[in-house]
Amino acid sequence: MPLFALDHVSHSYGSVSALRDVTLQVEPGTIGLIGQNGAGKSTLLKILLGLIRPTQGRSQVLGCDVGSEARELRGRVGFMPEADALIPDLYGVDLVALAGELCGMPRKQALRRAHEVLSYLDLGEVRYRPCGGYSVGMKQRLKLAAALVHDPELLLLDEPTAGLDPDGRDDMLNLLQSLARRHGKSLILSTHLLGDIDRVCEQVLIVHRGTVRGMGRIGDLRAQFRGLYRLSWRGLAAGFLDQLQSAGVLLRSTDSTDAVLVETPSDWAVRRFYEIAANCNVILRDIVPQEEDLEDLYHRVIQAA
Amino acid sequence: MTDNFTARPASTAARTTPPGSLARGAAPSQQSACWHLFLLTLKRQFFSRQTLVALSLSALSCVIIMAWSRHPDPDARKFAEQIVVPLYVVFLMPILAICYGSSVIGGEREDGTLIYLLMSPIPRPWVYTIKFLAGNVLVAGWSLSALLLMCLLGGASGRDVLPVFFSACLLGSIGYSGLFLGLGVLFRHGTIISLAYWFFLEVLFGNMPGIIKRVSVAYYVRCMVYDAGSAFDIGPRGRVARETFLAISGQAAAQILSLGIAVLFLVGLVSFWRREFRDLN
Amino acid sequence: MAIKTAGYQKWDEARRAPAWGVWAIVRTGLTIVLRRRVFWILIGLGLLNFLFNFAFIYLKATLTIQNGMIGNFLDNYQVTGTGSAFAEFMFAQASITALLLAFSGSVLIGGDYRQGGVVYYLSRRIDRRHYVMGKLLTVGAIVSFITTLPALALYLEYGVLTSSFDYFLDHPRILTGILGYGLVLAVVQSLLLFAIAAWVPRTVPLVMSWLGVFVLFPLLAEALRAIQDNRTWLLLNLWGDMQRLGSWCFGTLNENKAPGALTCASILTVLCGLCLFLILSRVRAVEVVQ
Repeated sequence: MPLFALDHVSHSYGSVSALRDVTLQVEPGTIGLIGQNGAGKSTLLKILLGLIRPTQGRSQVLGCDVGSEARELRGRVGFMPEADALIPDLYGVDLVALAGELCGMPRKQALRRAHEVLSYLDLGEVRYRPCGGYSVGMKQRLKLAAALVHDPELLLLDEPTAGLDPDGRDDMLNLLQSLARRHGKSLILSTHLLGDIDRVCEQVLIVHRGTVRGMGRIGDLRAQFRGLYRLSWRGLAAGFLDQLQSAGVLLRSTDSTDAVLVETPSDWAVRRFYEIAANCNVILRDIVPQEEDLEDLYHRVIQAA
Repeated sequence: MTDNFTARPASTAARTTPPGSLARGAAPSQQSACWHLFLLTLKRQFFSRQTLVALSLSALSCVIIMAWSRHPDPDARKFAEQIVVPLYVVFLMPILAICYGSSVIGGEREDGTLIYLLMSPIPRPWVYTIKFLAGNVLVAGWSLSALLLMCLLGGASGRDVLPVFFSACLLGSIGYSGLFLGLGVLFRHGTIISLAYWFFLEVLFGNMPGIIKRVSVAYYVRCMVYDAGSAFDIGPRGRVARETFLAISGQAAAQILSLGIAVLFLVGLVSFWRREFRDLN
Repeated sequence: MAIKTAGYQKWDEARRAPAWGVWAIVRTGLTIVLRRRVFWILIGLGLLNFLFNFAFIYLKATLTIQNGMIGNFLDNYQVTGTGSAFAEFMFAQASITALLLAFSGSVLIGGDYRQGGVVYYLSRRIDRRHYVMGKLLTVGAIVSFITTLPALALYLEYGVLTSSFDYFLDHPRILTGILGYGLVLAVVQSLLLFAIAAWVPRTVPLVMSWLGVFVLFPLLAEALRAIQDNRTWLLLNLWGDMQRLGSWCFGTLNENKAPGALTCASILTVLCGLCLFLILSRVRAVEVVQ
């Protein structure tokens, strides 16, 4: 069973189109959702949570039809929003227990479970403090606790590390990794911090201007592309770089006068570097294939689209 | 390396900088900073949802007066007693004062922006004074405009009673504003305290027989109004009402209100100056 | 094993129906309100009238035992014990607690809009109707706590302190009046408060709007009535409408004076429908999820 499937889903806010005819199917696991501000990530999360109905199309999450079984679905999904979705006057333990009760847990079990989850997330010591007085890191953990209290199969996390210090961020990412790997939770992680996705997620979903521009396992996406090289040479580079560009090579960055990061077309053969260098009387010193990081991958996918 | 801005002669900066604005790179003067804070406070308070609500309440009050002015036999005394006192003195004036007065400092605390105010190089007493002035300008401006409009809509009766109410309402609105501004400094939930004060002390205790009503601002405003409106026979009807009201002279009421405003200003200023705010976040 | 070392535990037991969530929302709302000192002060001030009436009934009962004439004398004033006296008492309670309700609206409903509470609630296994119902019941419970419960207590006190229980048998309409008027106050005020708080969530504008409706509408109604002595305009006084409907519940409404109970009920029903529309259009997830 796929984690979620969208079938020609579109959504507009008035005349503004947030999602455009998205069709995809995603397998369970840890999925990173990336895209610019306004790309449609939050709308996608809202649709997956059954909070809004798409203008067009159908969607299924965990085998539930989002249109007709939204409430049941929310019982199986935990949502951690980016904004402070808290009730400041409530104690931490009451807030988490209330979240459990609202997901259908009996009062006593919700309270017991709230204590368990708060201890697991290292908030045991502050559970009897009004959550309005929590620090940013504590609030993030509390939101995660409220999302976890009913033991959901899928967690939707919107910027879970926003505002955390390096140690807090590290702890949060370790927690998410542990939930995914040791406890079998599926995660959809929406964030601008690509490093977080690189560390936690196996799959990535790239959204751009309301459409999905790239999707799949991060390793597979990287494997699609092997054309990034760092070149260094001796001699005058002007003619060499011009010829490279006219051959379809893209100059990504120039570190110095005798080195450059280039991106080659898909049918490129490495020997062509030597041929062009020989034509320009340039002696190539190094041709080093480059590993593509997630940021490069994101930019490449967006540009290619 | 020489900084272009610091190398620029001070005289040039003085020549090209319009009055009241900050020269790029030059340290702003204390006066211009104060002026900016004053304008910012006015802007922030005026362009808010409170203003929309205040506008709606004022509009509804005007509709009431338009309806009242179509009564068969309107006269100045009835207009004052049936409309201006219950509608304006008891309700609209204090509500407008709470609307802006309590949120001048209270709003900064609620929104977490007080820290920026305290971080500024303007001394705290100056900050409070500027806030006090801005709050008073808004409250008095709104209140007197509303009074003016109401009296004009009230026809001949309204025009007759306008001078009766004008000075009393000016002092009253400044008194309320100073009080609610001070409560905003003294208490974390200053707005709620202000509203509770108005509802229980001004509305309930202010209408009780006996001396207890002397704790309310509305009492002194009414004393001034009754004194100034004696020509129109404005005041408590009947011997019992007059005796239980325990009125003081308009002049004494004005002096007490003025003194009260000065004391409230000083209390608020000292409190804002000396206080260590614990809710800065 | 210590809870800390137990690590993450699974939970896969039977879930309750979402309607149980309504109860959880009500309980949490009341906890939030009762945890604040300022509310206890306002409740205390609101109950002063009740204490006065309570003491008066006790004093009257004591004096009546000593001298029956005094009891008869006090009955002439109909300060308490009659349907109209209970209707007046509940109306006074509702007026005194206008501020308490405004603050409750700010904390319970306005706070949810300002601080993201709506997202917290709506992302759980409940629908927006459960959320709305929970909040309405919370406000309704506060209204009843200040109006219906004290009136019931006074009714019981009055009946118990007479020489027999005949008072209860002779005045059953008072009980239905208290419950009926209490229901009208709770339903209308909670809907009206929710509608205002949902659209004007910040404390100061919310209280201003609430008190504006409370103070200005009766003045407007009276000003319009006086033009040609057309009593239909009195329907604009929403609190007056509730009072007239309450008096009808007590059986003390003067039917010869317009507007009648049915007209008031119609106006209040339309108002409730409008409030419900405003509430539901505001509690749309599309607006609240950031």
